[in-house]
Amino acid sequence: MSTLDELKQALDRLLSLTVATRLLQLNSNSSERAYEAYVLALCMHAVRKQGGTAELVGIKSGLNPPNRSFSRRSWLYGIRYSRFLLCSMLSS
Amino acid sequence: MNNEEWRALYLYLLERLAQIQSSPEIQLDELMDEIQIAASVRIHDQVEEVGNGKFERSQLKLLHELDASTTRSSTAQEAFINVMSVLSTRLTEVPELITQLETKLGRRSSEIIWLPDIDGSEVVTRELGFVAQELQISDSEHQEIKSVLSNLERLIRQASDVYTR
Repeated sequence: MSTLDELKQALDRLLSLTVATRLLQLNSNSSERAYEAYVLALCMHAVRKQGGTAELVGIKSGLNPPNRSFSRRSWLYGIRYSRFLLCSMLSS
Repeated sequence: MNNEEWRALYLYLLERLAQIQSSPEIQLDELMDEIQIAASVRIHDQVEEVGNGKFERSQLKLLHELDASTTRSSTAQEAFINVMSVLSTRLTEVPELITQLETKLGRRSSEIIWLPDIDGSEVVTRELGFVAQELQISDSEHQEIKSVLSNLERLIRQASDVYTR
């Protein structure tokens, strides 16, 4: 049977990890968006596996949304997945 | 452990997180919100017996349409276990999702960006999206977190009778 002190020590050990602090401070619903991105990636993977192609159609930004950068930094993106995008899957 | 000890452990966790958050560059607001929600989730219990069991056929049909569960506040132990699942999601599941994203898309995490769907006139702020690389951790970091977390979960299991993870 473990004691309260042992549990406190184990919690301390976890929270003292630098990487844990980095992950725990994620904001802007990052974890929720990571799940959304993963589901979208699974859809694309399934279509590609069947020999089809998948296209992203933004409700606002249209087909193949243009490269964008966040306002505060300039990054180049190889691939973009947007929230609220309609994924149009076209079988070839 | 008794209910008071579980409550003390939960308060200790909040205290430790508050200490971490006192550093100006660390923001744990979203995590603290998630923890509060997890700790206040109501528990559904299945109703085992309804009445004395003697019902007409028409009454039975009605009973089946009713929710056969009751809800109650969580105990301190259940609340702490729910909170642990919030921590575990952030520390292990999210980084694993990013690894899977890389595999499924065939791209490096630095190339995967999540942006909102906006038209050309709107400004994309950093807060609206994420870069997969930020959520990624190295194999050694992953092993370290997993080992520390599973030790903590083992201790919780030993002190608890409802922990099922």
